Amino acid sequence: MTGPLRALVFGGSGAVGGAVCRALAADGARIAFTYRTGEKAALDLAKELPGSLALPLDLLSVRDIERTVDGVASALGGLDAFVQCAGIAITAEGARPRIHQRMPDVDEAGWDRILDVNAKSTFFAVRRVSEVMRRGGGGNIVFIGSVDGVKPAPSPVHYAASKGALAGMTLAMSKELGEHHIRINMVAPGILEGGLSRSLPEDLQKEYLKHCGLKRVGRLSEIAAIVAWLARHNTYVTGRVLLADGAL
Amino acid sequence: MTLLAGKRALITGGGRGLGRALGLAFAAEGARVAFSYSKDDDSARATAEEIRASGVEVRTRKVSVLDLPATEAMVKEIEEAWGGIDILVNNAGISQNLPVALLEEEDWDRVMDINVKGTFLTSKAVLRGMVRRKSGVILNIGSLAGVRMIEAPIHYCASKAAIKGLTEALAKEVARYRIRVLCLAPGLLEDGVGRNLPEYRLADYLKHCALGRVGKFDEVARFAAFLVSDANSYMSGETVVMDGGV
Repeated sequence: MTGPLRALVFGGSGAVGGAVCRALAADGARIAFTYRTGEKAALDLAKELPGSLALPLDLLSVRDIERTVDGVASALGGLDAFVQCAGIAITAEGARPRIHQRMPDVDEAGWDRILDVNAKSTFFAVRRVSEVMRRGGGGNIVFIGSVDGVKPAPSPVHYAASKGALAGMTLAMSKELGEHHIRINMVAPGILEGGLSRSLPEDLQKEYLKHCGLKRVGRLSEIAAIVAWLARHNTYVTGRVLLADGAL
Repeated sequence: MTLLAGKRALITGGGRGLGRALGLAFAAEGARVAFSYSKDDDSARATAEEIRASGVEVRTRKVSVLDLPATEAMVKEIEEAWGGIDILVNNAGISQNLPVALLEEEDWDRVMDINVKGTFLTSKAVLRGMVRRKSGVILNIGSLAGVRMIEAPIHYCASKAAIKGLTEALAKEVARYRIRVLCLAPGLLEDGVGRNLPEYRLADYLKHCALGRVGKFDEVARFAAFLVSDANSYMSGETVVMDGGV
C-alpha cells in the first residue's frame, strides 16, 4: 500500500482507542474515530490529530453503526483498516469505580448489554466494513480483546464471554473474508496502565503483578504499537489472537 | 524505517532462505547484523554483501548450532566488537519429509538436535550477556506444524512444538532480567522447509489457507523485525502464528 492509511477506530475517546489513534496518526494515517460518552476526550483528540474526524456513535444501534461506517468510507474515500477498541467491562448500576462483578451480580440486562456493546456491535460493524474493504481490494481489521477471553483469569464472566466471542469471530471471519484479502486479528492485552483495567480491584491487580513475568502493567503505547503494525503493515497474519501480557 | 536503530542482532542459519530475509529486514530497520551458517559459504558471502550494501555492519561465522564452544567463541567475538547482542533469532532449522515407518533414530536425533538443542545452546550462550545487561530479545522460529494438527513429519512437528514450550518457559525464567522471548510460527513459505512437499500437500495447504497463498520470506522477516523491536515491549512468551489463516 502506498498512500496514507485510511482508518476507522471505534472507541477513540477511550484510553486504548486514543493511543491507537495517536500511533496510527504518527504513521501518517487519516483517521475517523467514534465516541459515546467521552465527548471531551474525543474533541481533544480531534484537535490533537489534525484532519481526524470524531463521530458520536452508540454501538447499541446497528443502524447507526452502518451509517457511521458508510459515512466514514465516503469521507476517507475507502477504508484500509478498522480497529474495534470500544468496549465496557462493568454493567452493575451505580457501581463503585473498582469492582469485580461476580456471577450473582450479573443480571440478564447486564449480560445483554456487555455482549451487545462488545461483541454484537463488532459483528455488524465488520459486516459493513468488509463490504467497503472488498471494493477497495482488501484491508486489515483489528479487535482489542483481553487476556480474560483467552487465558483463565479471575474476571467478570460476561466480560470474558464477550471477549471470547471476539476471539471466535476473529477465527471465522478470517476464513470468510480471506479471499477478499481482508485480514482479521485480535490483540489481547493483560492489565494496562489505563482504560478498562482501571476498574479492577487492587487485590486482583496485585495478583496479576505477582504472576506477570515482567512484573508491571502494560503501557497503552505498547498495545497501540502492535495494533498499528497490524493495521498498517500486516500482509499474512490472519485469524490470530496476539497476547501482550508481559509473560503472564 | 528505523525500528531497530542501534540494535545488534545475531541470526542463526542466516545465509539463505528466511535467515537471509531476516538479516536484510533487520538491516533495513537500522540494526547491525551478525549471522551464523553451517554449510554454504557462497550464499553466506552473497547475503553478507547484500546486508552490507544497505549500509550497516555485518559479521558472519561458519558454526554449527550444535557446537557450543564455537558458538560461545562467536558470541564473545561479537560482544567484544559491538559491546553486546540485543537480539537473537534462533532461525537455524531442518526438516525431512519422511513417514514414520521410514524414520530412523538418526533422523529423529538430527532434527531434534538442530532445531531444539541448537536453540537451547545458542540461547544459553547469548543469554549470559543479556542477563548482565538486563535487556534483550530472543525470537525463536517455530512453525504452524508445532501448534496445529497437520500432516507433517513427526520429528519436525515435535521439534517445533518443543520450541513453543521452550519459548514459554524461558520467557518466564528470564522476564526478571527484562529479557523477552517470543516464537514466530510461519505456515508454509515460498521456499522454506516445505519446498520438497508433495504436490497434493501444497494444494491442500492453499485450499485451507484463507489468504490462498504461501507466505513470503520478506513479509515474515518484516513482522519479525517488529516483534523484536522496542515498540513491542509487552509481548513475551507468546507464539505468534503467521500462516494466512489456515
